[in-house]
Parts: sequence; C-alpha cells; structure tokens
Amino acid sequence: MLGILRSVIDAVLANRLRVRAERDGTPRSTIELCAILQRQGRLASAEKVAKSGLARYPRSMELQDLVQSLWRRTGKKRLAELEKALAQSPSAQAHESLVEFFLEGEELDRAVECAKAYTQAFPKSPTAFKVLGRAHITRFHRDHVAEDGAAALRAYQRAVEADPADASGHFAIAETYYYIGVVSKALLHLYRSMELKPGQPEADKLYKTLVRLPIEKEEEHELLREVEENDEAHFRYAPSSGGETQSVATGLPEQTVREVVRISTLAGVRRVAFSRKGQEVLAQEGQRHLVQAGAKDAFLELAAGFRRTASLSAKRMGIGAFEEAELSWAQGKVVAAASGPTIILVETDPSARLGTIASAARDFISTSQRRGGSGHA
Amino acid sequence: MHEVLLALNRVPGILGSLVATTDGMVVVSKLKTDLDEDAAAALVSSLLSGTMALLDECGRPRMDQLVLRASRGKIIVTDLGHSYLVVVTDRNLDLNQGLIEIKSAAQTLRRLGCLSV
Repeated sequence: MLGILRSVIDAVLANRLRVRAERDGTPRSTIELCAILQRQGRLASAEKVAKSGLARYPRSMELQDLVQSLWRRTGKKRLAELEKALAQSPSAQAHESLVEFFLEGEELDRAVECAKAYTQAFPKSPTAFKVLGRAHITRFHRDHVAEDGAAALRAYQRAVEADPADASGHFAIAETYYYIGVVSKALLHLYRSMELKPGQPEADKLYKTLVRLPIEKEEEHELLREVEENDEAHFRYAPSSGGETQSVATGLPEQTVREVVRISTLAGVRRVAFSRKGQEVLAQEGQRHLVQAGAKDAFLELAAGFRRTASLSAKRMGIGAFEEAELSWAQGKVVAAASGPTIILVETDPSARLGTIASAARDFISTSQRRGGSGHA
Repeated sequence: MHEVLLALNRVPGILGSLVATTDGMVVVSKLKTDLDEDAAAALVSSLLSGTMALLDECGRPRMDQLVLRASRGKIIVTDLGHSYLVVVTDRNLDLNQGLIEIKSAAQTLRRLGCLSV
C-alpha cells in the first residue's frame, strides 16, 4: 500500500519538476527530477533528462557526475556486449563501436586507448586513424593539452596518407589546424577537401571563417603549446550574442556585470572578482567598485594570475583543465570557478553557505561562456 | 616521511603526493605522474606563491587547505606548519574519504617534526 502511495507521489512530483526544470534558472530542479526518475527505475529517461540539463548548464558538476554515473549504469550491458563482439570477431566495426561508446560517455582516456588498438589492428585503414584523431581532438578540447592536439594531427595525417582522396580526412586536418591557429595549413587542406568533394556545407562555413583570419607567425608546435599554457591563446571566439548591451566601461555584456554584482549580494560574500582576457569587474556588497577598463586592483590581478597558475599546474600534473578551487583559512574562504580564460573569484566569510556560492559561481561561468562566447568555435 | 606518503598513495584515486616548503622547495616527492621532480617543484612553487599572494590580499591569514578541481582530477594542498602536503588525485577519488586520509597523513607529518628545513 505504502509502495503504491509512494509511486503515485513520485509520479506527481516528477510532473511538477518537469515543468519547473524548464523555467528554473539553476540545474536544481533537473537534478531532483533525475533522482525521482532513478527511484522509479527509469534510468534511460533519467539519462535523457540529465543530458538535456547538461546542455543547458554545461558547467554543472552535479549534472556532469549524474550523466557519468547514469551512463555507467545503463551502459554496463552495452559495454559487455561490445567487448564480447570484439573478442569474438575483431572487425573494424566492432573496434569503432567500442570507441564510439566511450566517446559518447566522455570516457576519453579509454576512447583513445581503444582507438589506438583499432589502428594497431588495422594499420592501413584510414577510418581507424580518423577515429583515433577524433578521440585525441575531443580530449584536446576538454583538457587543452598540446600532446593531444599534436597526436590528433598525426592521426589525421596518417589517414590522409592511407587514402589521399579522402575529403573528410583533409577537412578534419583543416579543422584541427584552425583550432590551433595555423591558418595557412588549414586553408591548404580545406582547399584540397573542397576540391575532392565540392558542396560540403561545413567546408564552406569554415572557408568563410578562415579567409578572414590573419596568417599565423608561429610554428604549429608553438601554437599548440600556447593553447595549452594560455587556454585561450589561439582559440577562436564567437561574437557576443546580438541585442545585448555592452558595459561602456568594461566592454563586458551588461548582464555579466549585473550577475557579478548579484553574486556579491549573496549571504556571506565579501567581494567578487571576474576576469576574462583583460576585461574585469570587481563587486562588493552589491556595488560595482571597479568597472573602468585598465584600472588596477590587486584582487582582480590575483584572480587572473591564480587562473594561469592553477591551469598550468593542473595540466602539467596530468589532471586536465582547471575548473574550480576552494581555499580555506580560519577567517574565510575563497571559491573560484574557471573555464578557459574566464575566472570568477569569490571571497566569503567562514560561515557562508559554500555549496550555494560555488554553485552560483559555476552557473555564472557556464552562462557567461555562452554569452561572451569564450569557447572554441 | 617516505612511508607516510607511500601509504597515502595507496588510497584508491590518489596519483601521488609530495611535501614542499613554503618557498616551493620539494622535500619529498612520491608522484606517480610522468612529471619529473624539478618540474613538480617549479609547479608547486608557482601554485603556492599564487595562493600565498591571494591570501596576502585577504589579510595574510594562514591557509588551512586548497582544493583545486580539474577535469581529470584534483590537487589538494594542506598546511603542515613550515611546509605543505600536496596531493594529486584522479577524478574518481571519494573526496570525503580522501580528505580524511590526507588530514590523517598531514597530522602524522606534523608530528614527525622533520619539516623544519
């Protein structure tokens, strides 16, 4: 009886949360909805909801962990099947399916390992090298580690060597060179790809972008290293979304400045610093204390410096791209959330609700990325 | 000190640990990553100096702990008095359990009293 009552309550609650999740400005309702769907045993639906939530809040750690754990739970059976199929008949298709499976679950290290095994089993297959290139470039986008970018280029070049008439191989090389800023080589491979297969919409789009860019001065390995060390160095920035007013003083979208000020009004927050490629805002107790471009403030300078140091340390230690930090001492705490060139640093009282503040900082970073367009194209 | 770090490294999810002085000089290093000791020392030194500068700006307090989260793991820095314990973990570390182990290792290291270099 209790079980029936519980399932009725869950069903009603799930419906309410579904509506609320669409209006909610935070990922909270989506996470709660996923918990109920899991309780109902609807893992596939929970995974779908979590994935759509992650598309809205790509920096939400809870949603990232939820998608990962649901993928592991729902994918166990599929993984066993794929591994069995590969053991029974190690065909190209079986290798590729396994790599695709890991790419889908963002298990990129395992995707790279499986793709390497695929190229070893089929050393003359251009598809195998393209799959390996894709695994490496996906990991490069996630971690900005130069070795992955170089490995992706090597893999795509092997694919093109194996089949010089492969338009998609040349396009993949062009796209990779574009990501790291080697415009001349990107154009060369793009022309080849367009020559081999005219009328590709993606190629036309990339061509329109490339012809507007200046030719690089550095070598590709230097550019790759620069991407790794500065994150933002040669990644292309999408223009800000149209219609939004820019703050005259900072050049930042007005909404970004307002959001920084809003975070500074949360209980226990002392001050908030936001920094992105020299655009900076400092807010204290709901007031913008510094919005003038070029003005100096120690806390703001430290925010940018800390991002660079933390980013470099994380990468060199082999743990990927810096995302968050929490620094605590007896009289206070500092919470940082970062992505690429962007960082928000929040100084709080020791009694502040750190979970709420960290979540606000994370959501702010994800929305400011979308608004300011600091991701790679 | 070596044994304390080796025992800590046996915790699932911990990739390595080291002890560095406040000016970034590495005292003992048990890192399982590909990083050589000099590179690790340089990184720890720059990370600590960045953190110290931030703390100075916040009124020169003594740091308790720094947890730095990255896409594939974490770096946890704990104050030992005259030096710091730096632990590198992968993303699968259970943070609650891991922090208990790290705090316990830090306490043992403090007790060892061999950190006044």
